[in-house]
Amino acid sequence: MTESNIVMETIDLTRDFGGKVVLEDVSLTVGPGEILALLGPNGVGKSTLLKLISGMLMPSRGEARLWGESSWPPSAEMYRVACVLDGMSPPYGTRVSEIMSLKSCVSHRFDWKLATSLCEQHQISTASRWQTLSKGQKRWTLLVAALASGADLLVLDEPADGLDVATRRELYGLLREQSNDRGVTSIVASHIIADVERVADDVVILANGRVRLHSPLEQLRDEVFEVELPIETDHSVITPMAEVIFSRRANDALIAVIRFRSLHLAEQEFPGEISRHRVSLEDLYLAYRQPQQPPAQAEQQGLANERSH
Amino acid sequence: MHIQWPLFFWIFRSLSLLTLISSSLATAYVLLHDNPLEFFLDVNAVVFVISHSFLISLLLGRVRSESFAFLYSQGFSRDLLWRHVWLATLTSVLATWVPCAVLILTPLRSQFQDWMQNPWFPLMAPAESRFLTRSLLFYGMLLPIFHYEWIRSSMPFRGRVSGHLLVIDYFVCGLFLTERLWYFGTDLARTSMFLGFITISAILGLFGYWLHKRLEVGA
Amino acid sequence: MHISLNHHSGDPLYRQVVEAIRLRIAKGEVEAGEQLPSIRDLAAQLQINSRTVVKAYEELDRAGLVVMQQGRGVFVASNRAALPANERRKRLHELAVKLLVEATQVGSNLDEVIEIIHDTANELETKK
Repeated sequence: MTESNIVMETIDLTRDFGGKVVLEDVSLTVGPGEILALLGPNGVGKSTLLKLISGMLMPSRGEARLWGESSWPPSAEMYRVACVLDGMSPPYGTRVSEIMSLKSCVSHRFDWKLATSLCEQHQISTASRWQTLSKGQKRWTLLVAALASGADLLVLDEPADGLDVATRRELYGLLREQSNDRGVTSIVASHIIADVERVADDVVILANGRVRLHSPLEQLRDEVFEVELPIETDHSVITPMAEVIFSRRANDALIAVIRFRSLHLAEQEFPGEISRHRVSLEDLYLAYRQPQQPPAQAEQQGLANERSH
Repeated sequence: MHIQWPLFFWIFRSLSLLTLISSSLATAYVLLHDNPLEFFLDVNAVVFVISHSFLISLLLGRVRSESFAFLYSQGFSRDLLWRHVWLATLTSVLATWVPCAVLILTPLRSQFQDWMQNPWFPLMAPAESRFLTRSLLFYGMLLPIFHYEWIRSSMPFRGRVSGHLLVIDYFVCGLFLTERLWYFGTDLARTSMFLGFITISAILGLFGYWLHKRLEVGA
Repeated sequence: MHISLNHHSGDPLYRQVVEAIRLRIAKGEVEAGEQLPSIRDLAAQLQINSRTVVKAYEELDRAGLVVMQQGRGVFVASNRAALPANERRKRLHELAVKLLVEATQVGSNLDEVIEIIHDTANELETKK
């Protein structure tokens, strides 16, 4: 890929805090206009990854690049990035208008009209002071500042925190709109999978500081199924065609969440296949979060379960 | 230099209360002090400048605070932030000392003290302008050290870059305060100490600038 | 054109769009030669990536249901290319199996199924 179609790239990005490795060898790329959803439980390194990308933290190894330039030490290109990150808030007494003014001097593309209308729609007066806002209003104010900033990359950490359903929809609608209209790229960490499912183009699942999955969401929808197979089915029947993400034995069937190696393969059936259906992102996420077992071990456990019945 | 006023006000806001207090204190002191003002002989003035510089650095450099992280996550270049940090620093110093300078130079202070029947005035008035230049010089020496210190304290590799330079600096600073050396030491001792101090401040100032580009925020 | 998407079903969005438009065409809600919403408009309306819309239109184009004209827009095809007989039979057979399995499960019988097919065909016809 040439530089022009990579907005953000991480190469073996690693970070430890006092010897404790939080992120390890994270390599990702995000193209223009893409909305990347970062999924994973709390403490898995999502926030750290976002801070490394936005030039707030120094990588222990590897690097994060924005438009081909390393984001550490932070370059002057950072004006093209708007972040709403964890553990950051304006000081006590700040007015909403001051937050917008501050943002408007980062970039001359700041859209005052959009900022004002988005605030007003949510009953936030630009004269209000920070401490008088509710949790959801605070979050919304910061998001509005980022959305109106005219930035080319939005880095958002749990943006939906404290927002009601309608506002969350509005937020993700705006992300989509900016992506379609201006090619704005977004990297969004979230644990609300139902929200992410509405908007993400690409999904990354982090576990133990490593990337477990990085794939376009539409491709996942095409390729991932939960299949029910005869109990005696061996993993070796599945693996040539698909990756087994998670499998369990229930009563007299083997139930597996699998990802076909290609869309073409997904049209074929396994011998004795009982049924198959598509899984939601939430189910897929849960499947990825199950402890990984080598097939042989899973087999033994399955047998043990059977005996205990 | 291009000044972004919203950014300047944002940064200076944290110094506003301090500046108000320091300005009133300094003005009152300069107006009411009944001995001729002589900077390094005046413990009050020296302590005032050290405290004022230290507090400026402390307030600007709360790197662990959420508001600091917020400002540094807004997309400003580190150079721009650094310039505005210094602009806010300078503003606080000048807001404190310009009124004093007016009192001393106009010479309102001299007339006031004369009116109070202070025998030193107006006789000693012309010698007092040195008080201003020396206090500002002292700020110039201290602030790079203090600013360097808060930046260094938040470096990811702070364990490795030791604070030895700082220790030396503080030591020289202590010597500086010993008025005997300043006023009664030899010219050589005084000059070398002065140059040493200026050099260290300049080095730390540059080092602070370099480290500020690599400041970790929100860790 | 209103299309409701189910983001949580696990079905690829482009397929959902394809199915929805196929249904419209089958029902005659959009006529041959009629212009469909532009990629940009449909993406904005459904709040989905415009590439998803492109993919859906391409799929419809491949199936011969719409014609994409460079710079002009997307139109409902006038003469639908018929599938070869064996392919057509195969596809309908699959659907028939599903329908009959479902019918047996809910306790229906073949006569009722045929009756319903007739009724549904009439419904679609009257809408045209």
